[in-house]
Amino acid sequence: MVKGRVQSIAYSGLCLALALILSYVESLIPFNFGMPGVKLGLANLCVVILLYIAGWKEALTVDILRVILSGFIFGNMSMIIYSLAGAALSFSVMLAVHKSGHFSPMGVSLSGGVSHNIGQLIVAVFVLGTTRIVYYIPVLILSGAVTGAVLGFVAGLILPLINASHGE
Amino acid sequence: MKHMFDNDILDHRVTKRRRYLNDLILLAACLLIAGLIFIIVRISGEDGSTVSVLYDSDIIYSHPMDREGFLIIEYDNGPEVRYSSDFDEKSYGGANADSDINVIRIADGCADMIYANCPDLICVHTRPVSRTGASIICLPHKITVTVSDDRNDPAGPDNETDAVTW
Repeated sequence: MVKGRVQSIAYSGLCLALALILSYVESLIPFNFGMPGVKLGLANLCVVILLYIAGWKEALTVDILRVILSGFIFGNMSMIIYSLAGAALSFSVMLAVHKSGHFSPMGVSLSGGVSHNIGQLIVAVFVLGTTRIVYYIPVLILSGAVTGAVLGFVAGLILPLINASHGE
Repeated sequence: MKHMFDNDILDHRVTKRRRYLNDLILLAACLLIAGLIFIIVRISGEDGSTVSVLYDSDIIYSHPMDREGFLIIEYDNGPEVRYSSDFDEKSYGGANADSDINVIRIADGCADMIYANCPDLICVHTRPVSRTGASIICLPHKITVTVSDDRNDPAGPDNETDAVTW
């Protein structure tokens, strides 16, 4: 279905661009807890939306690309590695939660946010050693869950609008 | 013809309401787990014996926790820490002081940042630290005040922020 592919590519590009903008906005908000990886995770909104409207392949592509690209633009190599680890876990979890059918976009995004932080934490534990990091687990879970839930709620509001704009 | 934008998981056996409920359960579970871990960490902390001052991840000063007094950090081509048994706030001109300044009070087994002229004063608002591993950070002045005991090295690999990611 050519029409489907074109639209899927268009939406993917749109979501990727939006994800990068959101990454930039995120970088303006001081949200540093002294532990690599604590961030608001705003860009994940685009991945969730794309997961619903286009499918997991497109969403995964955008997820990986935005990590790498925002890493080139705003950060450095080690940051990309941490974020990729977080994104790997986050995407797997989000896909599983989505496919299970028992959760709405809010739950999908929520689980993605938490698992992204946990994934980065796990890498940090291996790289840095455990002593201090343990302090930050509650904060990571909390921030990942809350921002994920809020973003997911927003996604839940946006998705019906997208469907309606293609109303057939 | 399968419409691309259909939610292919539109399974009507699991209603929308049930999904939202599951979401809330998930959120509650996350908050609960976070809370539990927080409590466990709080309870299992132990009081430290040494206060270390770090400038940009290098230890520049160490001080025993049981020796009460004040650590005054001034900056003159780099940070200088000196110990003083008392501290008079009025003798410093606040934001108009010649150099940056941070003052830490050591008392009752705690270290507390009581005075600073950095723009955000987050360090002053941070609660006093007493447990091993806890720290007060003044980001604008690149100062970290951390608590350790003889076993833990405060400037070990844990203390350095290798990267900021997002």
